[in-house]
Amino acid sequence: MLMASQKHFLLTAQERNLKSYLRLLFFIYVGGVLVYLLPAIGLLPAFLKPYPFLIDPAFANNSVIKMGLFAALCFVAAGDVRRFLVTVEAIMVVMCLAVVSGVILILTAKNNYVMQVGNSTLSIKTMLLYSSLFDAVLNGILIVLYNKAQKARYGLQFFTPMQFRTLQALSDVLIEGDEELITDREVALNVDRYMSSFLGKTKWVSKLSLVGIELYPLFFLKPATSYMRPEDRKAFLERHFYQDVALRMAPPVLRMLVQAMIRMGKQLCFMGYYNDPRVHASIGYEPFSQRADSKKRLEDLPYQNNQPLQVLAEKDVETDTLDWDGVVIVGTGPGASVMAKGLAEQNVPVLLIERGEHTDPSQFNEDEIDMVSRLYADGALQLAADFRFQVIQGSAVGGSSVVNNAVCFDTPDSVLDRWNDRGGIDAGLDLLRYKQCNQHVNEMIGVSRIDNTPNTMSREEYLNPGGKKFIEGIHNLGLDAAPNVANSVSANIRQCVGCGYCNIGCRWGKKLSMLSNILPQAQKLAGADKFRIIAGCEVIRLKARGGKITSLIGRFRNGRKIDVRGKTFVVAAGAVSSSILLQRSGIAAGRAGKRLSFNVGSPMTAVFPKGQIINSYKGLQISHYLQVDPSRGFIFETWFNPPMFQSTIMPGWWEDHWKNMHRYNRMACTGVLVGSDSNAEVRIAGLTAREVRYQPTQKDFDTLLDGLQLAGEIYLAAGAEAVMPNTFRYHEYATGEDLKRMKYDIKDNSDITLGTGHPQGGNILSRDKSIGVVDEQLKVYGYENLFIADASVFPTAVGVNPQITVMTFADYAVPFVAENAGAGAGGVKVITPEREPVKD
Amino acid sequence: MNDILGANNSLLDYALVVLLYGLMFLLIRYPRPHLELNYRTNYFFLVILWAFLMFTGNYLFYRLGVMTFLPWLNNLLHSCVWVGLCLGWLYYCAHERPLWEQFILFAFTSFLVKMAEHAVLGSWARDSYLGIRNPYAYLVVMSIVDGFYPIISQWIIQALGRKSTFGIYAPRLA
Repeated sequence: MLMASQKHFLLTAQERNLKSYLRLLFFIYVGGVLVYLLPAIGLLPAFLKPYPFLIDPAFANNSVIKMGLFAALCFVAAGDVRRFLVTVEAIMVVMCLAVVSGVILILTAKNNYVMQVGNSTLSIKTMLLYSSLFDAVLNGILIVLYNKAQKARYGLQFFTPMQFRTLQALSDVLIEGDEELITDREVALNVDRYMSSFLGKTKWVSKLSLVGIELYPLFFLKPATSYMRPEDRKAFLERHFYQDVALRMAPPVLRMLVQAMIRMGKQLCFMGYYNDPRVHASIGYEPFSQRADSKKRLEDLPYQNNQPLQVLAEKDVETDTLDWDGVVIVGTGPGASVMAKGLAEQNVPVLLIERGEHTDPSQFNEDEIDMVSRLYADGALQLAADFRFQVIQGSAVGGSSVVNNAVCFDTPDSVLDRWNDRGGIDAGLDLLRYKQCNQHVNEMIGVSRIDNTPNTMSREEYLNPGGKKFIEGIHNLGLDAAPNVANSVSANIRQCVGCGYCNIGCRWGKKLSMLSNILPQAQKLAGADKFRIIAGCEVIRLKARGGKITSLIGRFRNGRKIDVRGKTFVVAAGAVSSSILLQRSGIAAGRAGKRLSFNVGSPMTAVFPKGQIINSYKGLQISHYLQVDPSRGFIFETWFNPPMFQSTIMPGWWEDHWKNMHRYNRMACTGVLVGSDSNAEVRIAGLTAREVRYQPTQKDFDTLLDGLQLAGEIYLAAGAEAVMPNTFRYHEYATGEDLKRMKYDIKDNSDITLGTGHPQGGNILSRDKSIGVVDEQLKVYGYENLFIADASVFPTAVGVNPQITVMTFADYAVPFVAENAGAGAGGVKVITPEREPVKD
Repeated sequence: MNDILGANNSLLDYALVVLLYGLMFLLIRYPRPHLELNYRTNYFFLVILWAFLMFTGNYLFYRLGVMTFLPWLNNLLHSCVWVGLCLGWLYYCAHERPLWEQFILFAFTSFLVKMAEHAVLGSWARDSYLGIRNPYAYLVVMSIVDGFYPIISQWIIQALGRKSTFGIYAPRLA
């Protein structure tokens, strides 16, 4: 029997293969030494006589040195493939060099002399070709075996050994504290587990970033990052990844790339460290399952599962061609679900096709990495083209409603007026009906002010405790008077247990998401045969004949495609995906994907003095908001996350980040949201074929800074000892005077982390066909049976959480879609504002 | 010009070869005239992959002395049209059959086409090969090599299909 400690030192089968191969290489190279050495000293074996060039002393000497060195390296490496791994790497690098130099010489060498070989001749270039091929084959096998050995040793599933080593090296210096509770290797392994757990189109960015970080020092004639001593590594990172970016010392393009690399590297390290349960106690975090009152809360407010949703996976779809006698909806998010429910009520058969997978709420858990990989598009790593703007979207049955904060705002009147402005967008909405739909949606999804929610506990027990501080600050500054509105949020949440896991899925069925609420209701109403959901299937193209969509092509994750025919099609895959789908299908060319806008957000974190334990993570993640006089153009929402998420938005580098994470339970955080101009676009481009291009306008950027400054003032008024925006260069502001510096510290979007969970527009609603993709019935121009029902039809950003507006649009369009499908009440009288003749 | 067309060859000779490819394609396509939705990506992937590998491989192996020189146009048509399009479709029709059957089918059809090219263009000519002093030895060995097309293709499709790389779909084997 082997002891556990002994097992640790045993080589894996793959490592043993590598060892054997190195031994073989040793003998090959020793043989090579003899082949070159023996003729030179007059001991030419008979079988080598046809090769007289072997007795050229210079040729033989160089070759003996090369072969001898390789033989020695192989001998050492084979002795202990773990300890002398670097020797294997040296062999691989030099062999690669040999192959490259061989190819260059074959292509460019002028002196292609011919040698006599036996009875025939051989040119030196052909000779080089043979030798390069030989080296390439030997090295290729070595690289494969080396990779397999390293992957087997650590159980790597996603990263290559080099990337894994870089991650370890980064973690070594980025997570810098006096008592790190898990090793750098464990951090890197956590990240590897995360990255391998989901399928995404942007995962390569993380690999590329790590390769970049590893090799970047070579440009400065320094060893690769993971080969540096930790002190040198930190000094290099400080100099070239931090100062060069923060102080704008690198040229713009290089600066952008370097910043993108290190941002990604930092995020990965922090995720790997702070998601580990062994770390949680050290930062003052208690998972819900371990909190003293969690049992009582769950007994008072027991788990309420709705009728389980019946969802088809790839294996359940037997044929590759489906004929659906009803409406086919792309997506299962808020717009799709409300549309589907409305159609089901009118007895229209509905088939929903969702890109994300189906996870029953009972499977939701506290592991952030697990939940993010299951519920978010691209594992929440979707970035804009300049890598400076993060677009976070849900990707699961239920869409973003599964991972949002359920915050509900009606569409502001000012926004509706702007949309219907006949001199501008000219949306042509029937506002009376729109308001009725808005009211209907609020009732349907169970919206109520969160502190009025029927609950056995006091609001203090389940609202985000950080929100209390925020309200205190607002009160102290006198900002709670009209025209400002400061209150707890309205949300489709009932009897919240206050676990603080809204963004990783509500296990307790309290958030009335589409997954827990609307979809099960609709399926129950229509019956599973007339209300089907296919999950894990991305719709990649709509097929049209003339002005009619005939079918769509969906692709499962294993590559299998299905062709789905239907009567009427509704695209409701979200602003980004819907725009991409239309572009891929050649629909609304030149308009689809344009005029994209966002609620651009950035957090302001506040830290309170020692002794003031706040535990903002306990309770609703977003509990309060402040809407300042609308002309200011922003809205505040208190927001706090479990450790992994929070660590990725926590300001600071090195020991500052460590210090901040260890003040986690004394912190509160507020997000500032700004409804952006519609100057962004999404297009099929870049390596992911899904490129979001966005640069905030100066007006939006100034508005955001204005909001951040006010958020800082509010927290300072509430007694915070310092406030911190999420800047690239670390800044901490302790007084109102300090805060005034912020506008000079943050010059543009490269100095601060911006992101959004609310992309909008792209296929906007307008009666002006030159800019609009859909008409006032949300029907796509030029197609008789294609509708859009998601945030992509928003003519501009709404500036508040958009889910109610999305659902209102869907509800608004239900009669038109039902009528188009040949069912429903039909004849809905829509009173649209008078308008100018439609521009073609 | 000899390097491109081959000695004594005209474009008319090549038209004849292309016609032969076309007729073979009609025959090959007979059992399954339409590409199924789930095989399209695999087909086009194999076409591009094999055409590229064949074109470069034929030249590289000539440089290494393993093969005779194929005139450039002959190489291009043989790689792209015959191996790429025609054998790709043959694989589509035959890939569910036992591997040994596929091997024979590919080797045999390849032999027919190489014979035709040999007759019309004079390519694939070598007096002896692998020590066998017979002008057909080279043709037979090269055709046998083509018999490995389905085996290698299946391996590639299965390997890439595991993660649907390049959109390749490999159905679960029964």
